[in-house]
Amino acid sequence: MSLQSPNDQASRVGEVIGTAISTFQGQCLRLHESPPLGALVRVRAETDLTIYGIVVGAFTDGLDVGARPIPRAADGMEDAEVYHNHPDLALVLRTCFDCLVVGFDDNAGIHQHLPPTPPPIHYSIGMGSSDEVRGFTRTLDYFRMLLGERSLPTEEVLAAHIRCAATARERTVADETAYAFRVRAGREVAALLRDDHQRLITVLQRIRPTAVDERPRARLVGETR
Amino acid sequence: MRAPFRRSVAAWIRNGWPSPPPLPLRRRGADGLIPIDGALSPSSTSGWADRPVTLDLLRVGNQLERMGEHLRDSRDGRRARLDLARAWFQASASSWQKLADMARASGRTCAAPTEPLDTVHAAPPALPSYEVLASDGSSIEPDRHGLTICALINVGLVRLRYGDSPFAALSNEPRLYFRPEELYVEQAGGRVLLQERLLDARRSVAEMRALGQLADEPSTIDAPRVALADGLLTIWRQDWAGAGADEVSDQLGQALDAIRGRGLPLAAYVSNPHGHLLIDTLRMAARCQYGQSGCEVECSEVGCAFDGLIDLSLYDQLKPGDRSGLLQAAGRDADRHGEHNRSHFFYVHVGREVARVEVPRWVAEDNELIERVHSVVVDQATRGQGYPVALARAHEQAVISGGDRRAFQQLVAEALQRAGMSAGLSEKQASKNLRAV
Repeated sequence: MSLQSPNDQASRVGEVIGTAISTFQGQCLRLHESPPLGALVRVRAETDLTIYGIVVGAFTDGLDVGARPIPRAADGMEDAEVYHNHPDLALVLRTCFDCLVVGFDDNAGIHQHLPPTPPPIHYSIGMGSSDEVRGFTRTLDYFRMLLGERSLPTEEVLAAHIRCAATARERTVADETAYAFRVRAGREVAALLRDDHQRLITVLQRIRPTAVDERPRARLVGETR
Repeated sequence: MRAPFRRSVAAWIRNGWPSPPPLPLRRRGADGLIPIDGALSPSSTSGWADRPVTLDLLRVGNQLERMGEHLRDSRDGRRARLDLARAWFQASASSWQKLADMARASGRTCAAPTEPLDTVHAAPPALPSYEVLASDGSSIEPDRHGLTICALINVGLVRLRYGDSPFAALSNEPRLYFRPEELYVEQAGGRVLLQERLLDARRSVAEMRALGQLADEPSTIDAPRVALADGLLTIWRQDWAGAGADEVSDQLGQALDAIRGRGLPLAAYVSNPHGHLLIDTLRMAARCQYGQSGCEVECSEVGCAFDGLIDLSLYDQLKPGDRSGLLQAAGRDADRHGEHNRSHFFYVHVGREVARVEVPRWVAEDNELIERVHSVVVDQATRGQGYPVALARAHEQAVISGGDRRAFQQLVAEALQRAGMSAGLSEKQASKNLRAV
């Protein structure tokens, strides 16, 4: 199955400013508007190649190398007021996010392994739609790639990703409820971390279904548990 | 105390005091970590002193020590001269009109007060909303040893709006100069390459023109506006007298006229100003004869008692937000950019320092505009934590980093190649790049 859809402006969240075969970095279109941790994003690299990544981190710093943020709150002015009183800040600061490549779609179908080429620099990064998230998460082989990335807080990232993917099922008429997805994802994690009880518990605690997961969505799709 | 100082410099060179020298970069070799070529070997014990250094810091250290002693020894004498200058400042405060007449009649470059010297204007109320436009420039000089002779001027442009509808726009405008008529000016029948001060002057013109263009862009709100430039409003210099630089001087006058035509109050800002126009006026008032009979100040045979002093020292009574009385630039060249654009200036305490603000005559003669400039400059410096934020942003937009300069040279090479031109560096530049041993 192919998920490829044209890049539309509404889903655009950033632009590729750093790229490698297994990771890429994006700069947000607007300051502080990073896609959430664990979100599935995509880069349409070629007509028939869409590369998928998961947001594994984000940061904000000065646009110029060496520019150092300094405290600016004063006289009761703080938080959003700082930006109101310094409209230039939005143009000299930037928010960036790091993504781990977890697969690609080449029209022949979705592959949950590294693509043949990295995402091109300066290409648009789009948020995966609910349909894309549900399509990509039909199989969860890429969990192994996430858990193998030792330089990241992988349990936190994976749990955040599972919650994001569950949310995609809340918002649409889905063939799988958010609750059911959390259970399936939990089983996948349990299989992968069968030898590491501490890490497994860390993930499971963070993806535990909530009451919100079931009721409305279960009715929506006409399913019962 | 000499020996400890020398020892500390020597120790610094030897050991990297106060912070240790950076660790040598390493790359992974077949047999584990090995130092990159040229880096220190792991067995080296004496640190970066082993590397060839062209600047002998130990010898510089000795000279720095003597410089410190010289400054310490001359401090007392300077303090006495400053007291003298302040006494003249206070004595002349009320007779400012006499001082102004004398300054204007002298024909020398100095300052003519337009109000009592010791006038202090408190900061006007902050404007609830305003728009500030700013520009600053940077340049790449023509290089005789480069691939081809060309110059680049990059102007940073800033529009910042404060109040209910805050807004910011930052941009820059690069311009390449490569035609002979752009790159050379006539001087004494010959042609002189556009570089150093002449290029600076051309850059000043570009900055002023940019401010005028910014003013032309429509604004969606009706808020008072001020244009800020970095430095001075005058570019004419006595040493250009034979340089045929009238053209560039006229261009600046036209750019200033264009800003006046748009009714945009203009101010040029100098941080840590070292100007001494008022000191020069006081020197004249004291009828300084440089140690000869009739000199009313205690000049020595080697120089005037006012030597080395700057106007800034006379304004230590200003409190944060205050501005001094207005002074008018006087001298033969004061109207070179047009009578309306004759430079006027005041000193203003912006919180962390006293800065110099220069305005053209048409702004100086309108109290509402002077108050607006005063208010905006203080607010901008407050927002910028000591320096006007609009000028800081304009500088950031204009600055050409070392990396940009290298990329520019690369682009020049590629452009020449595409045009089918064979070009090369001079042997001197090639030798510098190669650093053959």
